[in-house]
Order: sequence, then structure tokens, then C-alpha cells
Amino acid sequence: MSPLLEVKNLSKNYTHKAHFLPGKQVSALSDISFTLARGEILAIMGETSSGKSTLAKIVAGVETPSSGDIWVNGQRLEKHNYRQRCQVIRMVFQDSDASLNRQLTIGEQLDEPLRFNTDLVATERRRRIREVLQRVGLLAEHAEFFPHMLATGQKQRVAIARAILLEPQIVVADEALAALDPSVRAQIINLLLDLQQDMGISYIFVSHSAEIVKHIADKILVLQHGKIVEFKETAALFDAPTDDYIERLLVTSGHIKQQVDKYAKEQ
Amino acid sequence: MLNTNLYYQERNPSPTQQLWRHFSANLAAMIALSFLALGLLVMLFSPWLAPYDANQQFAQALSIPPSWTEPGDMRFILGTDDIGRDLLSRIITGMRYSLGYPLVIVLVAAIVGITIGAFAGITRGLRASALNHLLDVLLSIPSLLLALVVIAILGPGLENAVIATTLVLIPQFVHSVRNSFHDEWNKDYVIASRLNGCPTWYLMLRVIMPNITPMIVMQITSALSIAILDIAALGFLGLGVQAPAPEWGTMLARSLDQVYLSPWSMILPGMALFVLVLCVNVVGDSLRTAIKERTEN
Repeated sequence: MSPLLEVKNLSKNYTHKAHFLPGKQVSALSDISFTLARGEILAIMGETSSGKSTLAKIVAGVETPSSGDIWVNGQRLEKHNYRQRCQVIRMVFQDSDASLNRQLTIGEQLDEPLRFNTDLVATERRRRIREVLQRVGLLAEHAEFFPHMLATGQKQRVAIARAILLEPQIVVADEALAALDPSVRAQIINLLLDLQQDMGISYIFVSHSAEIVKHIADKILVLQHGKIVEFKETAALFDAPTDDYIERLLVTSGHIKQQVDKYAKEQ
Repeated sequence: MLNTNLYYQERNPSPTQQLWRHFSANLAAMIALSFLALGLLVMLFSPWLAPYDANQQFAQALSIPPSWTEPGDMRFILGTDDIGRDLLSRIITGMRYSLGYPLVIVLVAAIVGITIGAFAGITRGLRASALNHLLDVLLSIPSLLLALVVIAILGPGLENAVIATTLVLIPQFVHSVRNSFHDEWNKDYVIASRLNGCPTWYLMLRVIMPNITPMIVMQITSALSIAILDIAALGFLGLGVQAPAPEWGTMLARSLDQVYLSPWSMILPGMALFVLVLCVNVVGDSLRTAIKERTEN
């Protein structure tokens, strides 16, 4: 069976342009290829500015790659074709507050994807929005709320509702859990895992938290300076980190203590 | 599933409504706003409110001071000027020139400026930056001076003054709207809507526009005070509205040589202009404060 998502030779260059001089090319990502199967959870890890966020944005369609293709179900995703992309890939942003329009009610915002991508009439759309809001653990009444009336966790649920509204096959979450406090984070993780089981969604998580990754991810993709360092099953990678960089990324709090002890002993 | 239909609040205050709440809590702002509303009503109903025709001359009543002074006459509440025209009627009728035309000017300038600014804000590259630099140059010239240049080309007159002032105000709208569109375009909520598959017109009108409305309203109030002053200044210089018409700036200029004999004929239009511009500025300023308060809470 062909994989759900296939990323082929993706690279991204930024041009730092200073006035009229020819710009300096900076490579954010180079030659990234990976696949994702249906229902699988992929975690993208890496240090700051390793290109993990850029990769997530390119897959979600926020940015366009300099070269390379993304295939979903054997179909090539076109650049800037948001209608095609939003049927299969949706994104949950890091800052749920910034990703919601302050001036529109939750219902109006959730109506956007349905209005422009489905043939549903207004009453059917409203019913669907209510269903999805309840599915993510909110009330149907929250459709009338403005974003500033909700707590952070609720806003993140709204963002998830927006992501699953069109029943996509892949949801990209760019540090979506980082801004939440631990108990809310646990709730959101459980919600995401529930949705995965019910709807068979594949996730791409960008995260720097080794605990979360260990808990949820099936596979880990490790990036360094825009290149893939490792792409492996989670358990295998946690058991035997292949090099120092990966080991540093994967240290959980328990591991840190061991490392400190080891360091103290060496001294 | 929980039965959650206990209490259903249909309408929640939108951020714009909250803004109005902050604004209406400010007494000075509300006074200024009611003065403006009053001015607007007076302007609309001026043919019925003015006791006499603006250009009707009373040969027996030359230079009569306002009615509350000793030599005053109750028939002419604010007195008459040196050729016996009722000042109250002239000021009321003059509102059409001094408030009506600036309103039309600002409306046209806003529509044109916002449209150009919105499209400029979402384009990238050479075209956008060329426009930006051109506008920077235009904005560095004072609006009245620029209006004078346009008048110098078109010739003096009411229509030309209106055209000149409109043209002068457009760059301000283009510039501020372009900048806000530019800033908003890459914010997460716009990206999210773009990923929702929303077409560009929807992004501009329904997604970004509500978020920059306060800025636009603020821009409109400042443009209105500029337009009022520019029309009055052009009238005063004799380049805009021409003499018999009761425009306040023109009235000021005409009464300049009688200022020792009949000071009221200069003070009254001047006061009217002052109060009008003050009200517009107070409304604009309170709006700015209200926006700041709302974002801080």
C-alpha cells in the first residue's frame, strides 16, 4: 500500500536581501524526504532553527518549498492551492490566541472552511459546527462566543475543531502543546489521541518535549541544520540514540539527573 | 452527552461593541460626539433652520451686534455683518460648506484610499515598495501646500478646492491602510483563514477589515479635521469657496477689515470653526484612548 503522505526531496532557501545587492542564500531545509502512513504519528524534533517549524509550515501549506514535492494519496499537492490542501492536510498553530480572529465569533470562524470547501447550506453547516465543537469537548453554545471569552485550553480546542472540521487525513501541529500548562496539555493530548482513533487521522507533531514525543509518536524525524539526521521508530530511537545530538534532544527529566550525576562523577 | 441547553446567550459583545463601551464611558468624548451629531442635523436641515436667506441684506440693519448686547436686535440673534446679512443664517447655511463638503471629501478619499491601500498591502515586491516610497514623499509635504499646488494647476473655485483636498487626503488613507494590511497579512489568524481556503476578497473584507476598523475610523476623524481646516484655509485665502457663499473661512477673510468695528462678524465664524474642529479631534483622540484601553485589558 502506498503511504498516505510522501515528501520528496523538499528544500527551502531564504534569500536575505540587503538593498540592491544580490541576496545571500540561506538554506533552511535541504533534501528532506520522508513518508507517513495512515493513522501514524510522526514527531519532528530538532534544536532551535533546525528547520522543524519550516518543514511543518511547508507541509501545511503556509510556506512554499523552493524545490521538491509533497504527495498525498498519490496526488501531488499544488502550491497555493489551499482548497485542495485543506481537504487532506490541516494545521494547528502554536499560539491558539493569535490564530483566532478576535473580531469574529467562533461559529463564524469555523464556518469558513465549510463555506468555501463544501456544498453544505447554512443550517447544515451550523449543525456540523455544533457537532464538532461538542466532539472537541466544548459546548454548541461556544459558537456564539468571541475568542477573548475563552480560556487558553478552550481556544486550543477551537483550533483543533477547525482542523478536524473538514475531516482531513493529516493534521500538522506546530508546537501546539508548548503554550499550555501541564494539565491542559494532558487533556489536549488525550483529545488528539481520541480523534486519531475515531477518525484515523495522522499527526505530524513539531515538539521539543521528549516526554510528549515518547508518549505519543510512532516515528521520530530528527533535524539538524535543515537536514534529516535520523528517521526511526520512537522506541528504537529512545533505546539507542545514534549520536550525541539526538541523545541531547531525547533526554527526559529523569535522564537529566543521570547525566548530571555522570558529569559530577567525571569531575 | 450533557444536556447543555440551560442558558443560551444569543449575543455576546464583540470587540467593537466593547470599544463603544469604553468610548461612551468618556464624558468629553460623548459631549464632542453629540455636538458633532447636532452639527450634522443642523447641516442637513439648514434650509429650514436658518431664519433668513444667507445672502439676504437688511439695509436698515448694518453691523448690528449680537442680540445679548445693548444695541442688539432680537430679529438678528447673532447680529449682522457690514452689509446687513444675518450672521446666524450665514453660519447655519455655511455648515454645508464647512462640514458637508469635508464629509463628502473624506468619504470619497476613504473609499479610494482604502481600496488602493488594501490591494497595495497584499502585493509584494517592486510594485508595492515603489508605491510606498512615492507615498512617503507625498506625505512629507503638508496637505495645505499640496492642495495649493493642485489649485495652482486647476485654478481657484469650490469644485477645484474639493478636488484638491480629496486628492491630498487619499495618500494618507492609502499609506495607513497599506501598512495595516501589510502587518495583518502574515499574522496567524489570516494564515489560518487562508489555509481554510478562503478567497482573497473574503480575507480582505471579512477577516482583515474588522480588525483594522478602529484604525480606519481614527484615520477618518483625523482626515475630517484636516479637510475642515483645509477647506476653510482655502476659502480664507480666496482660492476655494468664492465670496458671497457663507463658507466660514471666506467669512473670516471678509470680516478681516471690519475687525475693529464689528468684531463679532469675525469671532463667530471663527468660534464655529474652532468648536467643530475641537469636537472632531476630541472624538478621534478618545477613540484612540478607547482602543488603547481595550487592548490593555
